Amino acid sequence: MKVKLVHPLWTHLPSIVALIILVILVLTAGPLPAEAPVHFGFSGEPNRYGSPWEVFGITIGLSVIFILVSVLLDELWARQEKAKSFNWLSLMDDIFVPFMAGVSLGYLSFLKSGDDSFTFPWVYALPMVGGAVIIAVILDMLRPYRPYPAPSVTEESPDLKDEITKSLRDNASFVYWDYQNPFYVTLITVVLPLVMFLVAAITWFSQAWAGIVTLVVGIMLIIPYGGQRTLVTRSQVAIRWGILGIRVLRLKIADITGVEIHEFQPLKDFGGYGIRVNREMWAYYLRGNRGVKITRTQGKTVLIGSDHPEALLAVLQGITSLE
Amino acid sequence: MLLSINEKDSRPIYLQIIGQVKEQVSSGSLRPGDELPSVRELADSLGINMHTVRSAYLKLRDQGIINLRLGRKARIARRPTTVYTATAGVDIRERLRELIVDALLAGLSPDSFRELVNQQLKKINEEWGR
Repeated sequence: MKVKLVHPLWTHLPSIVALIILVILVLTAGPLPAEAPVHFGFSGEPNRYGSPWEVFGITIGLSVIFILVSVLLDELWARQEKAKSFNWLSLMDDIFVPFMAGVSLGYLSFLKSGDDSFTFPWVYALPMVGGAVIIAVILDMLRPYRPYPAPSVTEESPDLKDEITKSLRDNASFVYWDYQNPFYVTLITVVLPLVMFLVAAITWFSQAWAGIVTLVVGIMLIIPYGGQRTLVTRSQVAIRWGILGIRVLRLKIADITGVEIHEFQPLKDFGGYGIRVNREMWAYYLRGNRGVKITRTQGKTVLIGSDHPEALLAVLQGITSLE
Repeated sequence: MLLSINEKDSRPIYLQIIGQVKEQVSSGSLRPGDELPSVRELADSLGINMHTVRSAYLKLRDQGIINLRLGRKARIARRPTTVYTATAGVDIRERLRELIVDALLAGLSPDSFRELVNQQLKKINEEWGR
Protein backbone atom coordinates (compact mmCIF):
# COMPACT_ATOMS: atom_id res chain seq x y z
CA MET A 1 0.00 0.00 0.00
CA LYS A 2 1.42 3.36 -0.98
CA VAL A 3 0.74 6.15 1.45
CA LYS A 4 0.86 9.67 0.11
CA LEU A 5 1.92 12.21 2.67
CA VAL A 6 -0.25 15.30 2.91
CA HIS A 7 2.38 17.06 5.01
CA PRO A 8 5.45 17.16 2.74
CA LEU A 9 8.60 15.50 4.02
CA TRP A 10 10.77 18.49 3.17
CA THR A 11 9.35 20.41 6.14
CA HIS A 12 11.56 18.14 8.25
CA LEU A 13 14.74 19.14 6.43
CA PRO A 14 16.25 21.26 9.25
CA SER A 15 16.21 18.36 11.70
CA ILE A 16 17.29 15.82 9.09
CA VAL A 17 20.21 18.05 8.03
CA ALA A 18 21.22 18.56 11.69
CA LEU A 19 21.19 14.80 12.19
CA ILE A 20 23.26 14.20 9.04
CA ILE A 21 25.81 16.85 10.13
CA LEU A 22 26.09 15.15 13.52
CA VAL A 23 26.53 11.69 12.02
CA ILE A 24 29.17 12.87 9.54
CA LEU A 25 31.16 14.81 12.14
CA VAL A 26 31.10 11.92 14.61
CA LEU A 27 32.14 9.40 11.98
CA THR A 28 34.96 11.59 10.68
CA ALA A 29 36.17 12.64 14.13
CA GLY A 30 38.90 10.04 14.14
CA PRO A 31 39.54 7.56 16.94
CA LEU A 32 37.51 8.20 20.09
CA PRO A 33 38.81 7.21 23.53
CA ALA A 34 37.61 3.78 24.64
CA GLU A 35 36.58 5.21 27.99
CA ALA A 36 35.52 8.77 28.64
CA PRO A 37 33.23 10.61 31.03
CA VAL A 38 29.65 10.12 29.83
CA HIS A 39 27.66 11.70 32.63
CA PHE A 40 28.22 14.92 34.51
CA GLY A 41 27.07 16.59 37.71
CA PHE A 42 25.62 20.10 37.87
CA SER A 43 29.00 21.81 38.03
CA GLY A 44 30.28 19.81 35.06
CA GLU A 45 32.37 17.29 36.97
CA PRO A 46 32.18 13.80 35.47
CA ASN A 47 30.40 11.23 37.65
CA ARG A 48 30.19 8.25 35.32
CA TYR A 49 32.53 6.82 32.72
CA GLY A 50 31.86 4.68 29.70
CA SER A 51 32.26 4.46 25.97
CA PRO A 52 31.54 7.75 24.18
CA TRP A 53 29.68 5.70 21.60
CA GLU A 54 27.01 5.26 24.25
CA VAL A 55 26.41 9.02 24.19
CA PHE A 56 26.35 9.27 20.40
CA GLY A 57 24.25 6.15 20.06
CA ILE A 58 21.59 7.51 22.40
CA THR A 59 21.49 11.00 20.83
CA ILE A 60 21.38 9.71 17.25
CA GLY A 61 18.82 7.01 18.11
CA LEU A 62 16.57 9.48 19.96
CA SER A 63 16.87 11.97 17.09
CA VAL A 64 15.76 9.37 14.55
CA ILE A 65 12.78 8.40 16.75
CA PHE A 66 11.91 12.07 17.22
CA ILE A 67 11.93 12.74 13.47
CA LEU A 68 9.75 9.68 12.81
CA VAL A 69 7.24 10.66 15.53
CA SER A 70 7.22 14.20 14.18
CA VAL A 71 6.53 13.01 10.61
CA LEU A 72 3.60 11.01 11.99
CA LEU A 73 2.18 13.87 14.10
CA ASP A 74 2.53 16.42 11.29
CA GLU A 75 0.76 14.08 8.91
CA LEU A 76 -2.08 13.77 11.42
CA TRP A 77 -2.22 17.54 11.65
CA ALA A 78 -2.23 18.08 7.88
CA ARG A 79 -4.98 15.54 7.32
CA GLN A 80 -7.22 17.44 9.72
CA GLU A 81 -6.64 20.84 8.20
CA LYS A 82 -9.67 22.54 6.71
CA ALA A 83 -7.49 25.40 5.46
CA LYS A 84 -3.80 26.20 5.66
CA SER A 85 -2.81 26.92 9.24
CA PHE A 86 0.61 27.26 10.79
CA ASN A 87 1.65 23.94 12.27
CA TRP A 88 3.45 24.62 15.55
CA LEU A 89 3.95 20.89 16.01
CA SER A 90 6.24 20.84 13.01
CA LEU A 91 8.81 22.81 15.02
CA MET A 92 9.10 19.99 17.55
CA ASP A 93 11.75 17.93 15.81
CA ASP A 94 13.43 21.05 14.43
CA ILE A 95 14.06 22.18 18.02
CA PHE A 96 14.92 18.86 19.59
CA VAL A 97 17.19 17.30 16.97
CA PRO A 98 19.43 20.35 16.37
CA PHE A 99 19.62 20.76 20.16
CA MET A 100 20.79 17.17 20.59
CA ALA A 101 23.16 17.58 17.67
CA GLY A 102 24.57 20.80 19.15
CA VAL A 103 25.10 19.24 22.57
CA SER A 104 26.72 16.19 20.97
CA LEU A 105 29.06 18.36 18.94
CA GLY A 106 30.00 20.23 22.11
CA TYR A 107 30.66 16.88 23.75
CA LEU A 108 32.79 15.83 20.77
CA SER A 109 34.97 18.91 21.08
CA PHE A 110 35.19 18.29 24.83
CA LEU A 111 36.50 14.77 24.13
CA LYS A 112 39.07 16.21 21.72
CA SER A 113 40.20 18.94 24.11
CA GLY A 114 40.91 16.60 27.00
CA ASP A 115 39.49 19.05 29.59
CA ASP A 116 38.50 17.81 33.02
CA SER A 117 35.11 19.43 33.36
CA PHE A 118 32.34 19.83 30.83
CA THR A 119 30.58 23.15 30.39
CA PHE A 120 27.20 22.89 28.80
CA PRO A 121 27.76 23.66 25.11
CA TRP A 122 25.24 26.45 24.60
CA VAL A 123 27.62 27.91 22.00
CA TYR A 124 26.93 24.89 19.81
CA ALA A 125 23.32 24.17 20.70
CA LEU A 126 21.77 27.67 20.54
CA PRO A 127 22.91 28.67 17.04
CA MET A 128 21.91 25.26 15.67
CA VAL A 129 18.45 25.42 17.24
CA GLY A 130 18.00 29.06 16.22
CA GLY A 131 19.01 28.45 12.62
CA ALA A 132 16.91 25.31 12.33
CA VAL A 133 13.81 26.97 13.81
CA ILE A 134 14.04 29.96 11.45
CA ILE A 135 14.31 27.64 8.43
CA ALA A 136 11.54 25.40 9.79
CA VAL A 137 9.19 28.37 10.24
CA ILE A 138 9.84 29.47 6.65
CA LEU A 139 9.36 25.91 5.37
CA ASP A 140 6.07 25.48 7.18
CA MET A 141 4.87 28.81 5.80
CA LEU A 142 5.82 27.62 2.30
CA ARG A 143 4.04 24.31 2.85
CA PRO A 144 1.11 24.00 0.45
CA TYR A 145 -2.34 23.09 1.67
CA ARG A 146 -3.51 19.78 0.29
CA PRO A 147 -7.07 18.85 1.17
CA TYR A 148 -7.30 15.33 2.49
CA PRO A 149 -10.44 13.55 1.29
CA ALA A 150 -12.72 12.95 4.25
CA PRO A 151 -13.75 9.32 4.71
CA SER A 152 -17.17 8.74 3.26
CA VAL A 153 -19.94 8.85 5.80
CA THR A 154 -21.94 5.67 5.88
CA GLU A 155 -25.68 5.81 6.08
CA GLU A 156 -26.75 4.63 9.51
CA SER A 157 -29.90 2.75 10.33
CA PRO A 158 -32.59 5.32 11.08
CA ASP A 159 -34.76 2.71 12.82
CA LEU A 160 -32.63 2.94 15.97
CA LYS A 161 -34.72 5.80 17.27
CA ASP A 162 -37.91 3.80 16.69
CA GLU A 163 -36.46 0.78 18.42
CA ILE A 164 -35.50 2.88 21.43
CA THR A 165 -38.96 4.41 21.60
CA LYS A 166 -40.46 0.93 21.41
CA SER A 167 -38.18 -0.36 24.19
CA LEU A 168 -39.09 2.63 26.33
CA ARG A 169 -42.79 1.99 25.74
CA ASP A 170 -42.44 -1.71 26.55
CA ASN A 171 -40.58 -0.78 29.71
CA ALA A 172 -37.77 -3.02 28.53
CA SER A 173 -34.19 -2.55 29.71
CA PHE A 174 -31.77 -1.88 26.92
CA VAL A 175 -28.21 -0.89 26.23
CA TYR A 176 -26.68 0.78 23.22
CA TRP A 177 -22.98 0.04 22.92
CA ASP A 178 -20.43 1.83 20.83
CA TYR A 179 -16.67 1.54 20.95
CA GLN A 180 -13.47 2.97 19.64
CA ASN A 181 -10.50 0.66 19.86
CA PRO A 182 -7.97 1.63 17.21
CA PHE A 183 -4.96 -0.51 16.46
CA TYR A 184 -2.51 2.06 17.78
CA VAL A 185 -3.97 1.69 21.26
CA THR A 186 -3.32 -2.06 21.20
CA LEU A 187 0.19 -1.41 19.91
CA ILE A 188 0.97 1.12 22.65
CA THR A 189 -0.59 -0.90 25.45
CA VAL A 190 1.09 -4.17 24.49
CA VAL A 191 4.46 -3.32 22.95
CA LEU A 192 5.49 -0.39 25.16
CA PRO A 193 4.85 -2.23 28.46
CA LEU A 194 6.85 -5.20 27.18
CA VAL A 195 9.77 -2.88 26.39
CA MET A 196 9.35 -1.22 29.81
CA PHE A 197 9.38 -4.59 31.60
CA LEU A 198 12.52 -5.58 29.72
CA VAL A 199 14.20 -2.30 30.69
CA ALA A 200 13.00 -2.76 34.27
CA ALA A 201 14.52 -6.22 34.40
CA ILE A 202 17.84 -4.92 33.10
CA THR A 203 18.05 -1.85 35.35
CA TRP A 204 16.77 -3.77 38.39
CA PHE A 205 20.22 -4.98 39.41
CA SER A 206 22.11 -1.74 38.88
CA GLN A 207 19.50 0.77 40.08
CA ALA A 208 16.56 -0.79 41.85
CA TRP A 209 14.51 2.43 42.10
CA ALA A 210 14.79 3.05 38.35
CA GLY A 211 13.64 -0.53 37.80
CA ILE A 212 10.60 0.01 40.03
CA VAL A 213 9.69 3.28 38.29
CA THR A 214 9.91 1.63 34.84
CA LEU A 215 7.86 -1.31 36.09
CA VAL A 216 5.12 0.97 37.44
CA VAL A 217 5.06 3.06 34.25
CA GLY A 218 4.87 -0.17 32.22
CA ILE A 219 1.92 -1.41 34.24
CA MET A 220 0.16 1.95 33.90
CA LEU A 221 0.62 1.82 30.13
CA ILE A 222 -1.42 -1.39 29.98
CA ILE A 223 -4.48 0.30 31.49
CA PRO A 224 -5.89 1.83 28.26
CA TYR A 225 -5.87 -1.60 26.55
CA GLY A 226 -9.30 -2.19 25.08
CA GLY A 227 -10.01 1.41 24.16
CA GLN A 228 -13.15 3.40 24.84
CA ARG A 229 -16.68 2.10 25.22
CA THR A 230 -19.80 4.18 25.29
CA LEU A 231 -22.81 2.58 26.97
CA VAL A 232 -26.20 4.22 26.77
CA THR A 233 -28.97 2.85 28.95
CA ARG A 234 -32.39 4.09 29.94
CA SER A 235 -31.03 6.19 32.79
CA GLN A 236 -27.49 7.15 31.85
CA VAL A 237 -24.68 7.54 29.37
CA ALA A 238 -21.44 6.00 30.58
CA ILE A 239 -17.98 5.92 29.07
CA ARG A 240 -15.66 3.16 30.16
CA TRP A 241 -11.99 2.96 29.45
CA GLY A 242 -9.33 0.38 29.17
CA ILE A 243 -8.70 -3.07 30.46
CA LEU A 244 -10.27 -2.35 33.85
CA GLY A 245 -13.38 -0.75 32.39
CA ILE A 246 -12.85 2.37 34.48
CA ARG A 247 -15.88 4.60 34.22
CA VAL A 248 -14.53 7.96 33.14
CA LEU A 249 -17.88 9.61 32.54
CA ARG A 250 -21.42 9.19 33.76
CA LEU A 251 -24.20 11.43 32.52
CA LYS A 252 -27.75 11.17 33.71
CA ILE A 253 -30.21 11.13 30.82
CA ALA A 254 -32.41 13.54 32.78
CA ASP A 255 -29.61 16.15 32.79
CA ILE A 256 -29.22 16.22 29.01
CA THR A 257 -30.55 19.36 27.37
CA GLY A 258 -29.30 18.93 23.80
CA VAL A 259 -27.58 16.49 21.45
CA GLU A 260 -26.04 17.12 18.05
CA ILE A 261 -23.41 15.79 15.68
CA HIS A 262 -20.14 17.65 16.08
CA GLU A 263 -17.15 17.68 13.77
CA PHE A 264 -13.82 18.61 15.24
CA GLN A 265 -10.09 18.69 14.58
CA PRO A 266 -8.41 16.51 17.21
CA LEU A 267 -5.01 18.19 17.18
CA LYS A 268 -6.16 21.75 16.69
CA ASP A 269 -9.19 21.75 18.99
CA PHE A 270 -7.95 19.45 21.72
CA GLY A 271 -4.27 18.86 21.04
CA GLY A 272 -4.39 15.10 20.72
CA TYR A 273 -6.40 12.00 21.39
CA GLY A 274 -7.82 10.51 24.57
CA ILE A 275 -9.70 12.36 27.28
CA ARG A 276 -9.36 16.02 26.46
CA VAL A 277 -10.67 19.34 27.62
CA ASN A 278 -10.77 22.79 26.14
CA ARG A 279 -12.57 25.97 27.10
CA GLU A 280 -15.89 24.74 25.77
CA MET A 281 -16.13 21.03 26.47
CA TRP A 282 -14.76 17.75 27.66
CA ALA A 283 -13.98 15.35 24.83
CA TYR A 284 -13.58 11.58 24.81
CA TYR A 285 -12.25 9.98 21.63
CA LEU A 286 -9.49 7.78 20.30
CA ARG A 287 -9.84 8.34 16.58
CA GLY A 288 -11.78 10.12 13.90
CA ASN A 289 -13.06 13.67 13.80
CA ARG A 290 -16.75 13.21 14.46
CA GLY A 291 -18.82 12.69 17.56
CA VAL A 292 -21.93 13.66 19.44
CA LYS A 293 -21.95 16.83 21.47
CA ILE A 294 -24.09 16.72 24.58
CA THR A 295 -25.12 19.83 26.45
CA ARG A 296 -26.50 19.43 29.95
CA THR A 297 -28.15 21.32 32.73
CA GLN A 298 -25.03 21.51 34.85
CA GLY A 299 -21.39 21.10 34.05
CA LYS A 300 -19.42 21.42 30.88
CA THR A 301 -20.57 20.24 27.49
CA VAL A 302 -19.38 16.74 26.63
CA LEU A 303 -18.18 15.45 23.27
CA ILE A 304 -18.24 11.70 22.71
CA GLY A 305 -16.22 10.59 19.71
CA SER A 306 -17.75 7.81 17.69
CA ASP A 307 -17.23 5.87 14.48
CA HIS A 308 -21.02 5.91 14.01
CA PRO A 309 -22.14 9.29 15.36
CA GLU A 310 -25.46 9.14 13.47
CA ALA A 311 -26.44 5.96 15.31
CA LEU A 312 -25.37 7.34 18.67
CA LEU A 313 -27.29 10.54 17.97
CA ALA A 314 -30.42 8.60 16.99
CA VAL A 315 -30.24 6.61 20.23
CA LEU A 316 -29.75 9.69 22.38
CA GLN A 317 -32.56 11.51 20.59
CA GLY A 318 -34.79 8.49 21.14
CA ILE A 319 -34.11 8.40 24.85
CA THR A 320 -34.27 12.10 25.54
CA SER A 321 -36.95 12.74 22.88
CA LEU A 322 -34.95 15.84 21.98
CA GLU A 323 -34.59 16.76 18.35
CA MET B 1 -25.12 -2.30 18.82
CA LEU B 2 -28.46 -2.14 20.53
CA LEU B 3 -29.65 -4.91 22.84
CA SER B 4 -32.88 -4.84 24.75
CA ILE B 5 -34.34 -7.21 27.29
CA ASN B 6 -38.10 -7.33 27.40
CA GLU B 7 -39.81 -8.91 30.36
CA LYS B 8 -43.01 -9.36 28.35
CA ASP B 9 -41.09 -11.57 25.92
CA SER B 10 -41.73 -15.22 26.77
CA ARG B 11 -38.21 -16.27 25.73
CA PRO B 12 -35.50 -16.50 28.40
CA ILE B 13 -33.11 -13.56 28.51
CA TYR B 14 -30.13 -15.37 27.01
CA LEU B 15 -32.23 -16.37 24.00
CA GLN B 16 -33.30 -12.75 23.55
CA ILE B 17 -29.65 -11.70 23.46
CA ILE B 18 -28.75 -14.47 21.01
CA GLY B 19 -31.68 -13.58 18.76
CA GLN B 20 -30.81 -9.90 18.61
CA VAL B 21 -27.12 -10.48 17.92
CA LYS B 22 -28.01 -12.91 15.14
CA GLU B 23 -30.48 -10.47 13.60
CA GLN B 24 -27.95 -7.67 13.60
CA VAL B 25 -25.34 -9.95 12.04
CA SER B 26 -27.76 -11.05 9.32
CA SER B 27 -28.89 -7.51 8.59
CA GLY B 28 -25.28 -6.37 8.35
CA SER B 29 -25.38 -3.81 11.14
CA LEU B 30 -22.84 -5.98 12.96
CA ARG B 31 -19.91 -6.87 10.71
CA PRO B 32 -17.18 -9.46 11.07
CA GLY B 33 -14.48 -8.16 13.41
CA ASP B 34 -16.86 -5.88 15.32
CA GLU B 35 -16.37 -6.03 19.05
CA LEU B 36 -19.04 -7.04 21.53
CA PRO B 37 -19.25 -5.62 25.04
CA SER B 38 -17.53 -7.59 27.76
CA VAL B 39 -19.72 -9.93 29.79
CA ARG B 40 -19.41 -7.75 32.87
CA GLU B 41 -20.22 -4.47 31.13
CA LEU B 42 -23.23 -5.91 29.35
CA ALA B 43 -24.58 -7.57 32.50
CA ASP B 44 -24.07 -4.35 34.49
CA SER B 45 -25.85 -2.13 32.01
CA LEU B 46 -28.77 -4.48 31.45
CA GLY B 47 -29.08 -5.28 35.14
CA ILE B 48 -28.88 -9.01 34.55
CA ASN B 49 -26.70 -11.82 35.79
CA MET B 50 -23.23 -12.30 34.31
CA HIS B 51 -23.93 -16.01 33.85
CA THR B 52 -26.88 -15.19 31.60
CA VAL B 53 -24.69 -13.08 29.33
CA ARG B 54 -21.92 -15.66 29.42
CA SER B 55 -24.23 -18.49 28.41
CA ALA B 56 -25.58 -16.37 25.54
CA TYR B 57 -22.01 -15.69 24.37
CA LEU B 58 -21.03 -19.36 24.69
CA LYS B 59 -24.05 -20.39 22.61
CA LEU B 60 -23.18 -17.78 19.99
CA ARG B 61 -19.63 -19.10 19.92
CA ASP B 62 -20.82 -22.69 19.51
CA GLN B 63 -22.93 -21.60 16.57
CA GLY B 64 -19.92 -19.89 14.99
CA ILE B 65 -21.43 -16.41 15.19
CA ILE B 66 -18.76 -14.91 17.44
CA ASN B 67 -15.15 -15.59 18.36
CA LEU B 68 -14.62 -15.90 22.07
CA ARG B 69 -11.24 -16.63 23.51
CA LEU B 70 -9.97 -16.30 27.04
CA GLY B 71 -8.62 -12.83 27.70
CA ARG B 72 -9.66 -11.51 24.30
CA LYS B 73 -12.57 -9.34 23.28
CA ALA B 74 -15.61 -11.12 21.92
CA ARG B 75 -15.82 -10.34 18.23
CA ILE B 76 -18.20 -11.13 15.42
CA ALA B 77 -16.73 -14.07 13.52
CA ARG B 78 -16.02 -14.04 9.84
CA ARG B 79 -19.04 -15.72 8.37
CA PRO B 80 -18.36 -19.08 6.76
CA THR B 81 -19.67 -19.16 3.22
CA THR B 82 -23.24 -20.07 3.93
CA VAL B 83 -23.74 -23.64 2.92
CA TYR B 84 -26.88 -25.40 3.95
CA THR B 85 -25.35 -28.42 5.62
CA ALA B 86 -27.21 -31.59 6.51
CA THR B 87 -26.83 -31.07 10.27
CA ALA B 88 -28.00 -27.47 10.07
CA GLY B 89 -30.95 -28.76 8.03
CA VAL B 90 -31.92 -31.26 10.69
CA ASP B 91 -31.60 -28.62 13.41
CA ILE B 92 -33.79 -26.13 11.61
CA ARG B 93 -36.34 -28.82 10.67
CA GLU B 94 -36.68 -29.81 14.32
CA ARG B 95 -37.09 -26.24 15.50
CA LEU B 96 -39.65 -25.59 12.79
CA ARG B 97 -41.60 -28.65 13.83
CA GLU B 98 -41.65 -27.44 17.40
CA LEU B 99 -42.89 -24.05 16.22
CA ILE B 100 -45.63 -25.60 14.06
CA VAL B 101 -46.82 -27.69 16.98
CA ASP B 102 -46.95 -24.55 19.14
CA ALA B 103 -48.89 -22.73 16.44
CA LEU B 104 -51.38 -25.57 15.98
CA LEU B 105 -51.83 -25.82 19.73
CA ALA B 106 -52.53 -22.11 19.83
CA GLY B 107 -55.35 -22.75 17.37
CA LEU B 108 -53.72 -21.50 14.15
CA SER B 109 -54.86 -23.21 10.97
CA PRO B 110 -52.17 -24.61 8.62
CA ASP B 111 -53.13 -22.03 6.00
CA SER B 112 -52.82 -19.06 8.32
CA PHE B 113 -49.50 -20.46 9.54
CA ARG B 114 -48.26 -20.52 5.94
CA GLU B 115 -49.49 -16.99 5.47
CA LEU B 116 -47.69 -15.93 8.65
CA VAL B 117 -44.39 -17.47 7.47
CA ASN B 118 -44.64 -15.68 4.10
CA GLN B 119 -45.44 -12.38 5.80
CA GLN B 120 -42.43 -12.64 8.10
CA LEU B 121 -40.09 -13.61 5.26
CA LYS B 122 -41.25 -10.61 3.29
CA LYS B 123 -40.88 -8.29 6.28
CA ILE B 124 -37.35 -9.50 7.00
CA ASN B 125 -36.40 -9.05 3.36
CA GLU B 126 -37.70 -5.51 3.43
CA GLU B 127 -36.03 -4.66 6.71
CA TRP B 128 -32.63 -5.92 5.62
CA GLY B 129 -33.03 -4.30 2.25
CA ARG B 130 -32.42 -7.39 0.17
